Amino acid sequence: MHAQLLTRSKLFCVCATAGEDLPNTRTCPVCLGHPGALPVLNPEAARMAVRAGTAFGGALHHTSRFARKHYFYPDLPKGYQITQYERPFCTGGALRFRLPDGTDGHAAFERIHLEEDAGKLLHDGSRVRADYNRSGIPLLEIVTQPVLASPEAAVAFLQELRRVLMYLGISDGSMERASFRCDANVSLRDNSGTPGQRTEIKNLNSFRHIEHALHWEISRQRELHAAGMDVQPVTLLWDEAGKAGRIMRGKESAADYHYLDDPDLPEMSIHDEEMEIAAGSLPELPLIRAARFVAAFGLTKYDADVLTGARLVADYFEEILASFPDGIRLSMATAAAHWVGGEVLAMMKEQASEVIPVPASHLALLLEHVAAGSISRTASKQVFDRMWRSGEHPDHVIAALDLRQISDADSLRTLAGQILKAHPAQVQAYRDGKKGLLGFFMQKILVLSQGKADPLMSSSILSALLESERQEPGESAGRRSDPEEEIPGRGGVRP
Amino acid sequence: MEVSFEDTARIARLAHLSFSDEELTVLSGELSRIFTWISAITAVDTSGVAPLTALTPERSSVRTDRPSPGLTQAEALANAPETGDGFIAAPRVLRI
Repeated sequence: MHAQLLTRSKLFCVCATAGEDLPNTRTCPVCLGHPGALPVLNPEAARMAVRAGTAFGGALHHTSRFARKHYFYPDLPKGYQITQYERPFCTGGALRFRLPDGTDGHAAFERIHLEEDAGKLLHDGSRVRADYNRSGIPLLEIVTQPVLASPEAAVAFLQELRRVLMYLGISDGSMERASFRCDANVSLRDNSGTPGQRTEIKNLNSFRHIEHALHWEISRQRELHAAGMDVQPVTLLWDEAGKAGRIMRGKESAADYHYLDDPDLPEMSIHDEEMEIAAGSLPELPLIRAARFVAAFGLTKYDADVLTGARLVADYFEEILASFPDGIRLSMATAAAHWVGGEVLAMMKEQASEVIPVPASHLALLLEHVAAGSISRTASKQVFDRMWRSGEHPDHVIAALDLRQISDADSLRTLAGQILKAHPAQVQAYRDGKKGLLGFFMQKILVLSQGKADPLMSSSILSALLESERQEPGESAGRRSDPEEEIPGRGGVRP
Repeated sequence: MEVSFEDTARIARLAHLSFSDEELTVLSGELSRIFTWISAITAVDTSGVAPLTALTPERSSVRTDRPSPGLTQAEALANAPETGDGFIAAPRVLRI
């Protein structure tokens, strides 16, 4: 698979990797392949590569080489792509991930190397139109060994790989923008376990497409075997709309690229101290972090997975926990996890936001208010909404919106009485046995109190009133009474 | 050193060049003579000598990851034989 590295400039020239989107506005003689232009390695791309190699536990090489991979196609203005071939900067490495059935997966890597991206082509009738803004953007290529045994395992592996690359801060992981994409190789083992001829499906940039394409290709190869035909070494393009692969070309044998060490580039060297810096600055990786969340905070595996989906979110969750006073930290962990996994993620998605503008200490305070019952959960969402938009302190928002929870029995009884009086038919139906109508009254009391009625207390007061007055249907329900004392014999005669 | 007719045809195909059989016969003869001439260099004993793959120093540059403007769109397109809407246009070909 390929991941675009988050450098600001390209791999071998100083053109910007992002910015102006008009075609061919971020190019120079190097990335346009003009004769005589000299590539110079971006040291930040090398640092990111070393970071990845370290995180995956591969063998980093003190020296590696760049090679020219030749092919003629309009996306490649030089006529070759600069990549690493015989001597990549990293060999081996592996990733642990969780298989869909919950068991642990382990995918060993063949190698990790650096290479430049090609330009983007738009096909337009008999012409292609080329935009070289992407030409020369650094890519990290990771090649796994043939160890993924099913399409589902392949997808689970890729999801974890994407998450780790994002944690490392070296990729934005965007499949939409094709900055994380996959070329999948498929081969079937025969009964003796010997792998058969492999084929390659290019440029898959959605997990769903990958799964569909792999299933399709496995069936195609099975059918060929069943018919006694050979699988040819082909490259396919996946057409998601038609749910079918299209054979693009016979797969080149490696020699057809006539790889050649690039004489314009010196060896890439990685010094011991760079390896040490990379090793010393690795973040806690998501699976390990999720396991810690379960063990240290008593979260469910599911909640821990949700929170560790993005590093920013997991960091935020831990910041909230750190904001709670010591005595309540553990007891608040699950509530905080649900809030971050629910409201915060939903808001980020709704606002298409990549940051969380509410300070963690503010959200911690809001959660303490909810836990203490001083505002209702419903009202707290309203408060959070405003905190997100305005950046205000929760106490200020609660006061401004007058959202303190109503939890004194007298006020709630008055409200409940008004509601029962306004809905005599429903009261009668409840007393005739339709107990489910309690929900209807609960909704009314929440609306009437603008979400401020304490739900637990409201519910017990409402049911007490409804039960207590079953033998006096005509009477006003709003009077002061102690419902516990007024409940008649439970088996009372219906009017 | 012999460069066969088949080798010559394959090199031509990889380079997207088309030749007639007569031309390929002439070219394979010429390439064979060139390779024979060049192969004189293999007489030098290079055992124990590290391959020289670049003349540039190991860490040549003071380059940083700071973007700087390159060509304008008009400059980028200036040498292209065919352009349109800011793109460089080319005939549609099958990648081989």
